Amino acid sequence: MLNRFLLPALAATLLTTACTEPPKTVAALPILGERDVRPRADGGPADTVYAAVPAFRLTDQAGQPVSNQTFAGRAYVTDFFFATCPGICPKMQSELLKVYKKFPTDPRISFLSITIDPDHDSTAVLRDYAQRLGIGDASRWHFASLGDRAKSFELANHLLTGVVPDSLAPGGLAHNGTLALVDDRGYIRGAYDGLNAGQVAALQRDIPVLLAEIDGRKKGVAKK
Amino acid sequence: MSENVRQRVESFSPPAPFSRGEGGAHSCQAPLSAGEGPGVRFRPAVLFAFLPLLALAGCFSNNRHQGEKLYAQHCASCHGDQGQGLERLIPPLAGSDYLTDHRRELPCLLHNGQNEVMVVNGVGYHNVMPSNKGLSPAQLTNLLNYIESHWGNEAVPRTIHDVQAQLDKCR
Repeated sequence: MLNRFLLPALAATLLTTACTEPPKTVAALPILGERDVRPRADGGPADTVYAAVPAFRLTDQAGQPVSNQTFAGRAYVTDFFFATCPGICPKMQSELLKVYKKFPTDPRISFLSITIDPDHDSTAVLRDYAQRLGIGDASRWHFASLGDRAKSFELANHLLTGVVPDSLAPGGLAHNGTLALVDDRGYIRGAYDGLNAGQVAALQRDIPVLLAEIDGRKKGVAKK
Repeated sequence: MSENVRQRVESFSPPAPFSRGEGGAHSCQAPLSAGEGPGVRFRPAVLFAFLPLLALAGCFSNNRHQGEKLYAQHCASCHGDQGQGLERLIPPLAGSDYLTDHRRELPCLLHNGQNEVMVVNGVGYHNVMPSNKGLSPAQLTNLLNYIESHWGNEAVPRTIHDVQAQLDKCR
């Protein structure tokens, strides 16, 4: 007798718990790179100040200037390569191409490959490279040059890619294949080994997380 | 009886390796004695039957996949792990007409590299192919045989003798 009432009641409780969504955990990407802790004048808790990507001014395969402002309010992925690189670049670029193909027309994210051999990689060479990789729209994926070799290496370091001239390395430059994910404020939010399929998959998963965060920031601004 | 056998197992020491190779590629390591894991019981008879087999297998399989290993080490980063190439930047090796049309020149191409326009399956490529001067004729033979028997490629296997003769004619 008791069972008759108990069972439906129990089933109902089970059903309702099944319907309530688990609490959403807010996935947030870390901010990478240098940071500075600055005490506040009013004696309140100190501020952590993160280093942003420094100002750069490049020229891409369309001959157009590319700077931090080009990506204002948007996310972008960077890597460092050179057109004649017989070492890791083709592998790295083929992996980045896979990521690109997941977001070919999403205006919230774009791609930036910077040459570390600007003496050879003229605008014409970069244009040929981009076309051969199948990238028709320079504003979606910039292949760009800083014009100066030493400054390119410096910018590479800021974007977590190490470069050293090395006569033993294929192509004369030893470098690693970091893909760096930069947010709308210029902070590096992820660094992935472009030669490691697992890490490239992580980049693919992280991009939507960052885009959602940026969308949230824009909505917040709109409300105010 | 069983105690007697166990004693024999415990006093058994693994056979000495047949030969110690100089380099990693030729190292011939005898397998570990199988009875070492704690808590694992082996039937001694089965163990003794398999030990020589394991030791032999360890020695014979070393160079079997040399071509595949060399490909992963020297070629795959540009030509792709399936020989697919990279768009119009790096020519494919899978189903490539260049491999059959220029078969006799391939040992020299791998050895010296090249820096000229190359037409593969109707598409022109002009990227640099680096040289591989560190690879021996035997290694080049294994590498070419691997490439020429995978991803739809079906060429007659090369011999070291043929490859050596073609290398001798390299400019």
